[in-house]
Amino acid sequence: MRKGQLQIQETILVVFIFIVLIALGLVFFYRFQLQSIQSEIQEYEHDHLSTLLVSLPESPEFSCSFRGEKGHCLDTFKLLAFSEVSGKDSSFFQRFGYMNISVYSLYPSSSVPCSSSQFNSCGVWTIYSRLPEDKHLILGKEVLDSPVSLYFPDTDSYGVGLLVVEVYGR
Amino acid sequence: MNHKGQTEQFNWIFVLVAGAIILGFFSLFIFKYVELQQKRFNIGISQDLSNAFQVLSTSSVGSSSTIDSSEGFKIGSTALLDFSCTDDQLLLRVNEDPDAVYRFRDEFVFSRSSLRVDSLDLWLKPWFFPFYVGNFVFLSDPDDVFYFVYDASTREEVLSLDIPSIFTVKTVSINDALPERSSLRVVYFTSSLPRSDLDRFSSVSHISLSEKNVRFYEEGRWSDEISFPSDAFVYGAVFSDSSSLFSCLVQKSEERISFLSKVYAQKAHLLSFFDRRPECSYDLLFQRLVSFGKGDYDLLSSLEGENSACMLVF
Repeated sequence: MRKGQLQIQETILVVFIFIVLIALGLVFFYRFQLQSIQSEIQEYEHDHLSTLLVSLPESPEFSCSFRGEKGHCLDTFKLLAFSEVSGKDSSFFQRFGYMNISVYSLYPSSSVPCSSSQFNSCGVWTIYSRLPEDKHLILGKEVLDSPVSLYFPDTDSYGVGLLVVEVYGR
Repeated sequence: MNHKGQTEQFNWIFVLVAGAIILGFFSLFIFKYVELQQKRFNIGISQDLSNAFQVLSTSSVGSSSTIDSSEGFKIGSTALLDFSCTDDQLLLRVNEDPDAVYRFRDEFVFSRSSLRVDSLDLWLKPWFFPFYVGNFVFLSDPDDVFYFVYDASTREEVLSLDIPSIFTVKTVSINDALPERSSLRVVYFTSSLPRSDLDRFSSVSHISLSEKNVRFYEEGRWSDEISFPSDAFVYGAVFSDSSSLFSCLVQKSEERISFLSKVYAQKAHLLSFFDRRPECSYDLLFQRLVSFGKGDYDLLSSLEGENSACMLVF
């Protein structure tokens, strides 16, 4: 009887340890998967940002055009017009989320922000800006930039600018 | 002796039960793991497609190409792509996975409502109305065969339709018999609506080039007429097979025109401060752009004329 009981207890112990080892293995596997998924999410968000950086200058809202033909430059008057028109349209938050999109004029250089009252000889266009209401929720910020060609319709001239996209992570 | 035998028996029963539980646990784990990997795969496809559509919708290149898994989208294997319109939002779902959904923003993608493919034929066509609005992206299964049916009154217009050679298109008269194959996509450009024997085709539509409207044959009956603002939508109607999807895209295009008209109107207002020549009527152009954005598309030709007068608005 004692020998039998001993044997059963031995079996139970072996099975119990086996289950504990498997559980530990599963916990490690789960953490590894979670990290892998988080890394994929970050990679996706980076790809999304890169796509935005490529497609924004080609969007009809910003790109210059000449009798309907699309040019490879940003129309500075359209940048200002867009920021004024989109401010009243809440659907852009669905498109862009929490980010800042700005264009800086490098040549001719100017650090004056552009607005409807100051659109001559200015050099900073804030196209879109939306920050999370609670700044403590911001975990980080990713910034990408790209050089762009600028077109000034008032003087019919071109310049060089920098398109900067800042995305806030929560 | 009896106790020894019973002990042995109980031992075996215990081992079998424990073994079954462990095996069941492992089986459940494997199924869940396979489900998770499938979900990651589906989401990966939807992300790749979303990035591709975003770039294609504003790309400067208007070209036709065959995109397949070895070159373009890299789907990797056969995937089910479902396009739908819900609450005026165009959606793409991959492999019926509720987590692998892409919500289109400003992209105009014309396609069948459901595609089970491992490769895609794709065509980009920039749309001007009168300013550049975006690229139309036309998608098709490489196995699809299009039949354009014309009658005497529409023959010339149908033959002048310019569809790239990557798509298999055959143009026939209303008097010609159509093949018995069920995978055909038939587009009627006839004066009257065809009635008979349409269920055998995979998709049927009727486009009126003169009145700029289209009907789709769905679930055994013709849909209501859907009007479209521009001739470019004729190609969209050719590649679509669903009235709800096509209506969705027409509505999106009107919203897009409305927004872009506001941007150009504001630009015209800014230009008026610099160009004060009496012959330049930026205020008139401003008013016309505002009306155009609200749907008065009859102003199209006058807008083009006004634009070429002074500093270019668009």
